[in-house]
Amino acid sequence: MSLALVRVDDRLIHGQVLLGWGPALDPARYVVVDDGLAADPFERALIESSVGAIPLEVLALDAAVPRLAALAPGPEPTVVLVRSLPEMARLVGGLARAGALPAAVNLGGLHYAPGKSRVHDAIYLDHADRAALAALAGLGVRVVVQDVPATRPFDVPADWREEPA
Amino acid sequence: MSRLPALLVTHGKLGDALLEAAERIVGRLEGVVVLSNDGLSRDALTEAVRERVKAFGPEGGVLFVDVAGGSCAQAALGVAAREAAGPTPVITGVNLPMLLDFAHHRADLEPRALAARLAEKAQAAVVVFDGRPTPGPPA
Repeated sequence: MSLALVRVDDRLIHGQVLLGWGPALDPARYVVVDDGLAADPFERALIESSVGAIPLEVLALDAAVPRLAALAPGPEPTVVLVRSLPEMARLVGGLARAGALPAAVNLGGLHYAPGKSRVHDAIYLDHADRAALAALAGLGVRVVVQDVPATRPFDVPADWREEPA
Repeated sequence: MSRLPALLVTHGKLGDALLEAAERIVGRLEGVVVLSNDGLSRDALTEAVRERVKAFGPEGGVLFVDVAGGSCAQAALGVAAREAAGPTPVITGVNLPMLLDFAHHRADLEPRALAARLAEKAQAAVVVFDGRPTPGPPA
């Protein structure tokens, strides 16, 4: 339960996370894993200002692996947010090597960008995203699409890992 | 003083609906623009806010957002703090009374004083009626 939600969301901390998942999971902390944000004091302050009284850590990916591996066996629920699927695949790979493979990865929001094609309402994938899904499958992690607790989750179909015909 | 511009950044169609409702009461609100976060990533939403705030003049303007901490609020705060040419306060919890008061006072207060007034007015507009009607806040 400790890594209660490990989510790919290109909005990182936002309404669905704070006001949808927050009340459902009652997290002890949010951990945002993002190399760019970790190195940008203004952006860090901005995101820190959004979570109210709940502790927030903004970590570069390399620093996040040991931190999350240490938190994983603990009792307090942690919500982990990563901006992209390739970064999530790297993070989960690191966690697997550290013996802290999360049970599931949540696919929350990957919005349109040039070169990405739509597979679901708020999910657009490009080649690197599909390769990351394949890598996550190879690690044995379940990847589930669910934007908020009130919607029905579903497992990412295998063909999302392949280039569209 | 000219009429201050404003941008409403909200989830879904909330901004459109609020503006439409306000305009039914006070008439057309020139210079008030709506932006939804629908379909936009964090970066794309910030860019969309940036483009619209650029249109604010040196007198500044007001950024209305729905929930504190949401993607809309973070995008608005980021642009207002770093890139706005004039004073550009961000107000969370936008509601219809707030927008109506903005319509009535956008020509006579500078953005920060107006924002302080709007926050007060919008909060005073939230009243619980339980049972017998009692006098509410002045509109």
